[in-house]
Amino acid sequence: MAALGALEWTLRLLGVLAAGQGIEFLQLRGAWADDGVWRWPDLRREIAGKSKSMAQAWSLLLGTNGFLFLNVVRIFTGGLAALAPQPWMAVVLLIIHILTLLRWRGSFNGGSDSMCLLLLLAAGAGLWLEPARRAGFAFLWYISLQLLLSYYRSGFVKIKTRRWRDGSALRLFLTSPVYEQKAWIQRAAERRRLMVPASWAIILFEISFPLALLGPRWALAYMGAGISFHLLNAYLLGLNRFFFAWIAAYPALYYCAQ
Amino acid sequence: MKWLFLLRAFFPSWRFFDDSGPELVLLTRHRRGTQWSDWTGAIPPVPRGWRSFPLNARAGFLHACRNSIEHLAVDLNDGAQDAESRASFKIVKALALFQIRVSHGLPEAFQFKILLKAPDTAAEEFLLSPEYQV
Repeated sequence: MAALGALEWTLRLLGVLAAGQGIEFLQLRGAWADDGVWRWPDLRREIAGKSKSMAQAWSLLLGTNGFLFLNVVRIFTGGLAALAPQPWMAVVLLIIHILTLLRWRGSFNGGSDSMCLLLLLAAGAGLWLEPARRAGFAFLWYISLQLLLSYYRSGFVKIKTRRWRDGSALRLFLTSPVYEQKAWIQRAAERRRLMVPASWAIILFEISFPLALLGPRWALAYMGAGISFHLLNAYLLGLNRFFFAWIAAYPALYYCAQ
Repeated sequence: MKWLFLLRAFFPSWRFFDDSGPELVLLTRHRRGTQWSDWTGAIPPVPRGWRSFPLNARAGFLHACRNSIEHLAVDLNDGAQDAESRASFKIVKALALFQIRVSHGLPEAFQFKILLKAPDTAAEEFLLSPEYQV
């Protein structure tokens, strides 16, 4: 896979993610309307300060109508990027993403927002610079290293935590009242013989992820495991955006593993 | 400092589900006429199922609600002066009213509180809001 191809695939997948984000925000319109939860009048002062002109400018972008418009543009641009990726689309999606982060006081969906941000920055810069300066490889390596770091650090913290090593942390997360309770999940979580190996499988998968760079076959194996892992997280923990944000980094990993 | 907080997505920690610490639980009650309702949990559980894939706006909303409650808790722990004027407090107050309105219609008054609940221990009260007229 050539650098340009890997960058284009990253942007295609980011386009799918962005279109999905836009549709979800439209579905949640009531929650960010002026009688909702994240009301622009409550947030305006924190972002715009006391200046009236700044407040007006920010309101144009992040007020109810402005944010609605941004999400329509995001859906349209994301759809286009998924079909025919161009560098300018990464710039548009990046600007909308940063404005969205401000609208949600820094983050709407935790780590997936960070991954999306880093990928849009790197894929956008790579696509701009690759044709003339052949600099795309540097941005693909940056994406890969962030991806490896995200798994490795998460696994490293878990292996240092006793509750993860003995399976009790996984049981607590699976049975937490934060999530809808299903009988089969409850039954599985009560079985220590299942929780201990499942915990170690997660820890070892995460902490060994840098081995994916050993070659294309290693990368494909880890990518396959990663897709299953993120699908399970989407089902069990409602982390759908993490699925697309992390999968969007996989073309860069495959390029670097070649 | 405020802008560092707002732009923290640029500096990811890459730590996920590292330990199962205490949970913050938002409870609300509302009044119509003279009768106050019982305290009830305001944030329903995140739904699990393949029908919620690939899009899951509901889960995103519920995760964002919990994040907003945590932001308020951090602000209060930092000893924020005049907490009610802070964006984090206004969001949780609006969240409480929003969830009451969705489940029970518009009340005449409402109140919310936040409990700190660690696994296998009794919950302790972290914050009790004043009563608000609607």
